[in-house]
Amino acid sequence: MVKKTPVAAAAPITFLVRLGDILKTSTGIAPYLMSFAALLIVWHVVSVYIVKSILFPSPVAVSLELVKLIQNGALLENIGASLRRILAGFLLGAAIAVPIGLAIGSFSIARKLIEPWTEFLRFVPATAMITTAVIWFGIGEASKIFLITYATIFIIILNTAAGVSSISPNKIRAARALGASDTQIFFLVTLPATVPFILTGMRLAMANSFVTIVAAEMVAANDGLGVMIWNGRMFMLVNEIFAALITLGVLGFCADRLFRIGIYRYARRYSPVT
Amino acid sequence: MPLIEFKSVEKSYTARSGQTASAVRDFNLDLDGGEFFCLLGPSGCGKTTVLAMLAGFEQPSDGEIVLDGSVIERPSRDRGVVFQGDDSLYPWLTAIENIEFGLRLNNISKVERRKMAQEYLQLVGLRGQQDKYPSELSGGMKQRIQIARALANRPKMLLMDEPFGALDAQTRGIMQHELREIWRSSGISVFFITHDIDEALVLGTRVGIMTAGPGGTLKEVVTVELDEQRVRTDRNYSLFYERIHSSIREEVQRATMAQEVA
Repeated sequence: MVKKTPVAAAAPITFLVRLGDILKTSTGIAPYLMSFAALLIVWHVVSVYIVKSILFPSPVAVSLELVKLIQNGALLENIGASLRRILAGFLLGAAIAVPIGLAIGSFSIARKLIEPWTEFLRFVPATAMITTAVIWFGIGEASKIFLITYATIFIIILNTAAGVSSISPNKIRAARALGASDTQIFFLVTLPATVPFILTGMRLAMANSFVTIVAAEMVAANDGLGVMIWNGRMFMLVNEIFAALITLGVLGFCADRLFRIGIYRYARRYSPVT
Repeated sequence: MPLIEFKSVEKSYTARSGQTASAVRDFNLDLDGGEFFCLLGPSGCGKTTVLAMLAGFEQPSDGEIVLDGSVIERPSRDRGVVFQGDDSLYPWLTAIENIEFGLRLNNISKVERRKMAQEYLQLVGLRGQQDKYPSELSGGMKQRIQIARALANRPKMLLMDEPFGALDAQTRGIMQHELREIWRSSGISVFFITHDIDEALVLGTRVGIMTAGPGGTLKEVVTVELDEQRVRTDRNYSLFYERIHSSIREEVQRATMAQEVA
């Protein structure tokens, strides 16, 4: 008995040490899964044993709700609506922002002319523009796409311009000494050297888009995840609200992962970190 | 006629305070084709400014630099430049793509330029490293890529701004030896900046010594009359070393005194 006590006390410690070892040596997706599992456990404990309120549903209840929403098609429909808007606005925003950012970074006259606009507008958040967007473009798709575009543009402009101005002068000088024309320098040095910054800007803009779409849909839309959350409030469908929140988190996480995988796959040579 | 003529070249900058600061004063020098000229001087004397003007990156405030009878106004393919750091390499291109960059600029076909780049890759001893990115290569290898990239463009001159300054002593020695071999076999002219007397003596056919800055000028030019095997233990080598060393020490002392007065 005397001998057994320290062993029993040591058991949880050995378990933790072993868990630490597993975490240290495990690669790939395992640490992620463990971390998410821990999050779910904490959530479950807080909701079922501490808060004990219908207003804070447990992960089990939310999962059941998610299954129900998937089965009746409502969830996928709303996800589709939100993602379509994000994709359209994001692509349009990036297409506008990259050339502007390159111009600001390359020509001081462009910087002087455009910067007052960007420096002013980037402090007017997209969410503040929702009412204006609805007045201008109505309650249809156009207003949402406008808002996502707006939310995307400035961060990409900023990053692109910063990328251009961070190119070391020796890269340009080396190209000139090798016989490069201005056009060649732009396409063969400036542009590729800026790609990592553009991609970073796009990742940040993607996160912005997820924030903006929810707010915009709450105020003015017939479908989308924002509408789900808003309607849930009106009808006290707490489980549905939580299902929408979880969906948003998962979508954002997946979008960012996809972006990173895409960079790693197709733009690895431009990536500053390997 | 010399390949390069510096004619009373001056360079001054306007500082933010509005004052004009002189970087190079009354610089006169003739360089012949095939020379290996080393420019030595204490830091801050303006040697890099001289190279920047010779490359065409910067324009003299007064005077002119003439190459083959025409005044240098802009950078050109006939003056290849090798920089001190590795920030002139393109990290998104592999070793071989970096080397063929100049050929690509001049619209040489893909097959042709790859073949030429391979030659220079081998010349600088990087066989087998062609598909690596600069970030995967050591400092010495990166400088080899820079040298190969400049040479692949077949310039008349190679301008080098302390190209081995950031390398460890061992690698530097090897690189110096190889550069001298490349220079001997190709007959290219080299304009080489350094603050290392040994480096200048091992490499150069002539060594120019600059006065202390700001506003340095050429103090004297020493012709290195040493045979091919240049070793520190050689008596003549020591004599040259002493001569150049005392000349530079004078400049450093003057610069220090000037700073103390100011």
